[in-house]
Amino acid sequence: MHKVVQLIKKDLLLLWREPANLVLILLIPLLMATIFGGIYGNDSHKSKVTLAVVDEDGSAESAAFVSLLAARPDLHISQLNLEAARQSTRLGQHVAYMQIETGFATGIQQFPFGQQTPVIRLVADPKRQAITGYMTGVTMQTVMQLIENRLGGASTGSTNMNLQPVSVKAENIEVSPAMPLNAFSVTVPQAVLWSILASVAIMSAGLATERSQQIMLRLKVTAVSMQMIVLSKILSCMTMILMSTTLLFLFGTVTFDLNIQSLSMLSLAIWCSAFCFAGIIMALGTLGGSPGAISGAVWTVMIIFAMLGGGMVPQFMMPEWLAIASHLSPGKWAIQLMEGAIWRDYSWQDALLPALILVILGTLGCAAGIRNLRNERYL
Amino acid sequence: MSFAVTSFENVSKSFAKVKALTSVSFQVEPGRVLAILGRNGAGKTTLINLIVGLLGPDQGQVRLLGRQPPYDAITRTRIAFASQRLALFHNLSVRENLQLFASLQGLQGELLQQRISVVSTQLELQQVMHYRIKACSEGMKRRVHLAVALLADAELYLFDEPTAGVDIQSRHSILQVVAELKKQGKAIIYTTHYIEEAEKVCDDVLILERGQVMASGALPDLVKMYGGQSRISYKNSENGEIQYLACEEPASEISKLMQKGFQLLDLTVLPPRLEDVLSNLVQEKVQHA
Repeated sequence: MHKVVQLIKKDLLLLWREPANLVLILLIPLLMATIFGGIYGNDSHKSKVTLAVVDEDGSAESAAFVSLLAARPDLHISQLNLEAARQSTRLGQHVAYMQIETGFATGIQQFPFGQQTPVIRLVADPKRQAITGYMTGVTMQTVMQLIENRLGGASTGSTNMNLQPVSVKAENIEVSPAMPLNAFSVTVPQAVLWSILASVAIMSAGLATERSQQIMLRLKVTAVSMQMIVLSKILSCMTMILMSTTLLFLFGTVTFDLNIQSLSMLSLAIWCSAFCFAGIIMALGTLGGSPGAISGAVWTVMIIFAMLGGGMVPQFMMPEWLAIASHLSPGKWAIQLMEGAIWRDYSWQDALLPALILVILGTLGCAAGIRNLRNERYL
Repeated sequence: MSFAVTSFENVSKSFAKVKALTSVSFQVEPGRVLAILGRNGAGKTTLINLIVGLLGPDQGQVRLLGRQPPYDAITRTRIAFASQRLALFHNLSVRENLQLFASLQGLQGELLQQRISVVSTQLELQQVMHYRIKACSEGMKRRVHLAVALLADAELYLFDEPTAGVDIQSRHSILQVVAELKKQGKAIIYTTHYIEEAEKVCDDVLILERGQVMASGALPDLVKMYGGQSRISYKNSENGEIQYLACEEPASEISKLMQKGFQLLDLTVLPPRLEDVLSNLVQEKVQHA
């Protein structure tokens, strides 16, 4: 194992010593995530709950209520009609919508002696129970503030009397899983894919260089077994990819408030992607040809993978034919698994297929690489 | 009879319809240097692949330290191999390269440092240990490449054109190292295109031509067999011209000339050399064809 560790250390040191590699693996993907995230999404409300409000009452009271909500620092309010609010919540553009039903003003004016309690509906994705609970509290608090304002600042004492000025009804809406909640939820996995593809191109060229200089052969002929050479190469590639993707996700989380739904699934996505692309490095880096030729060929393949896999156009925006063609790219499965952990809200069952495809592709790549290395001769 | 470190017995190897080697036999004993000579495409590379176990023979037997390929890990640690291409990490320093390869050879701690110190002294690398390989001259790179091979305490050293493209100083220190290894009783296989270099370091010679052994044996025997006549050169006292004369027995030829009254100025006797062996063999082959 000591020999394998030495070989991994060497690979990482070589990578570190070439600044252009770090630019390709980290800096450019970071810029991509930032610039495209900035273009696609308005991030000024990223720390607020985005709420669509449907004011069916249309009274001065309901308008005052909406104004009080809009004044809150934790909410970003958009007033829409019912259909638009439903649609935007379904597509994930708002986390919930609030429907203020007719009779709101009457209820407020007659409080606490009214016969009927006005109804406010809070409609959200059933998986966002916390948001529903939070919004229920916010609604009650704001209604009480509205009543206090009407009474000229005098306390209603209603909380002591346990009276409810409004009835908040929580309802569910089916949210489309094909839409992200935040532009960075899309651009960060895209950036990660680019970083992985850059790692593949760089490490394949590195492997090809080692082969052309007959370093592999020197190791193979003398002290290091074939298994050690292969294991160290796979682990080096995986370590490189794991490190760069982890850094990019950390950056995304800290800088862009990337809301990762399942950290364990994201870890699975990173590990499976690292293994898959380590296999691809093994396969491509051990093909015949000069390092320059291999580097050119690998970049071409990687750009095609990126185009098909959602590295340029997000998968949910792809036309049907492109979505079908994207099955051919390992990048698609890597991004899908990452997005599944970030915003697609995948169950473990949903994650199984992309994870399996990545592992199978990685295994095939490793097998091809091992075969190519075994057949290597001294020339 | 001494134990052969490596031996070939009637070894043949073909690739598709191309016969790369046909019935090759030789052996290398401890403390001897075998030079493998031959033009490009003669079969030297196939032979090296067979020695190190990257290829298996179609016919015949290849043995290394008494074992047949594929070799186990212990046998492989007893081969030191310096390929023609510089198998080094160009973005690592000389020291880092040596440390890495030494640790891959299983050396650790004090022993590792000691070994690096020995080989760096042998190949005069102490002053450049912190240089990255890419910053080194060709000669230095070649010496580091050889130093890596010397890190192993091997039984068989395989050097494929170790002096290709190096300066005189580097060539000198490389040849010194080969001589030193020979003194230590190591078996060495050495390929080169420089005939005078082979002549300087080798004990035995194997000449390959189109996969067949053209001639093989101890260097003096080959010279005797195929080297042809010695040559005498002298300045003619009458007209001042340099005269050349080929003869079997230089001593008797010189006395004959002196008896005839020639004044032999700047007399030089040139015994047959490896170069003559090669040119005679090639001529013979052409005539035969």
